[in-house]
Amino acid sequence: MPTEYLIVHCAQKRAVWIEDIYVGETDALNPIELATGTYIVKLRPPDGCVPSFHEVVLLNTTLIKPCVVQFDVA
Amino acid sequence: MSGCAHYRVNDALDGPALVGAYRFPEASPAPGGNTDSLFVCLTFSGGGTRAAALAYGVMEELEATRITWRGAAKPLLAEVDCISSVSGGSFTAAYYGLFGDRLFKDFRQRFLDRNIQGELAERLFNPVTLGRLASPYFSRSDLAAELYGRTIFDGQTFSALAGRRPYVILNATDLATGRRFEFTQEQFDVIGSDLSRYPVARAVAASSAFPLLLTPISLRNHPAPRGWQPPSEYRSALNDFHNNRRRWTWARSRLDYHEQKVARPWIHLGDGGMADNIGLRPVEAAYRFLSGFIRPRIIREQVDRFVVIAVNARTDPQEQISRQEGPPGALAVAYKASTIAMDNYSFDTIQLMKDVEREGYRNRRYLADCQEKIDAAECRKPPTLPKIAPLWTCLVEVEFEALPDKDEREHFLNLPTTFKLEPKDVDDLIAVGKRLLRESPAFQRLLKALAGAPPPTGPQEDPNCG
Repeated sequence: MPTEYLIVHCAQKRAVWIEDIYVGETDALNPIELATGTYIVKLRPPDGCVPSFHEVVLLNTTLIKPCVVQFDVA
Repeated sequence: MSGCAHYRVNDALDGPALVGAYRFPEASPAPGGNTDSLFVCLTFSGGGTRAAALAYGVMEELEATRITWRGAAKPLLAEVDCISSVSGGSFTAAYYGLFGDRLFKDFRQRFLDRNIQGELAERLFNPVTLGRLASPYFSRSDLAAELYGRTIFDGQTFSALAGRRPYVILNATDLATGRRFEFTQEQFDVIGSDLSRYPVARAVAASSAFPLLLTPISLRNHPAPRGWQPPSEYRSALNDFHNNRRRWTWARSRLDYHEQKVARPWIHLGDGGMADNIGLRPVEAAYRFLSGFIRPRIIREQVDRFVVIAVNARTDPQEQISRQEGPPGALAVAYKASTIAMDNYSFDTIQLMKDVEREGYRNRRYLADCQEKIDAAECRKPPTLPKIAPLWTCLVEVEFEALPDKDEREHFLNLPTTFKLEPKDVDDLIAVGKRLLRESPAFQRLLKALAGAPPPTGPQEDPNCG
């Protein structure tokens, strides 16, 4: 079961929660390592960030090309 | 007395299980105590008293092994965060979880040196017990659970295990599905039940309910408490049938209990060895999946070294059925059918953990090699490569096959699976458990690495535990 890589970007520093589990902060230096599959990514506090969540499918990512999830400031 | 005998039914949850629930303890360790940065899991296989004694020997060696980690000197045993166990190994795991270092004072007398199966047989033929066994709701394993509870585990429930490390995962097998069933609150959440009030002895009896000899332990699949929702990751993982069948199966196996309460109001559990005879699967799942207790700690970079010590009391007895021309009888076939998967699946699980360990090493090498090529190219503006958390993994296997002496190896590989061993055999098993761990090349590399030796870098060096 391969490992996938994910980076979460936001213009404001926020806590990153994946599947309701705290995993760190936005724009961390190291990509987040997860098992292949579908995940719900949220920021907390959610105020001012859009969308309210991302559903991502992590598949065939690499360290050099991780999946990048972008939250914007409304 | 006879018609009303009933096994102990697991309690329903009256709300989401929060305070005092049996989950991996989240609290930060005390200064100088068990750290997250060195995360150690032990797995104890099945194999009756043989497995329990081998695991006990490894525990003694871990207690005797002194390390210095983050400036604090301590026995390596003090860094053990979880123990996952099956069948005979569950006796050692549960006893240590409940009573800590008392294991080294009286576990031999309370379990290893006893003729447990003789005591069980004695109770089976007691006239009062015979009456109780006439009830359809009371069986041999219920009797065994009473014996274990009274004479080994002091009637303790899972609330006595909660809130401290090591987190002990006792594993059984759901006979309806063949899937692993673990005695944790996460598992009990989906059956709407409160594990904290459930006797540890019944979990151990389920984990060691050897097919045919002992009967299943039964649980009620209670309605979910008001307001309870399954963990978010289970729902997401149901989308992964094609992309990640293992994750999908893991989520499906949990959610089925929640979604099929009408069709499956009762759960009947047999020996954990039928689903995974070495107890590695829960550790692998906790490492792989975000809802597990290891993966979030790795992502948050709380873990520097992840160590798994797999104690496997697998034997390879002289096979009898291949020596005769006629086909084996129905009883022999039934016995084989119920136990044959144990060893095959164990091999598969060990390989899975080795793949995990290799994958991490390959990723680090890949990045280092890329960086080397970039540096050699002398670019005017070299690109910045991403980094991954510097996690070092280590799998140490303790098993009889590693014994170099053929006669000694064959002696241990032919020990029976029973709850009665001669004291000399118990002595030998404890001694060989200690020696196998001490002499394991992977364990020796781990101790050197903990003492500050540089990690292996050459392509021919074994990266495991370095």
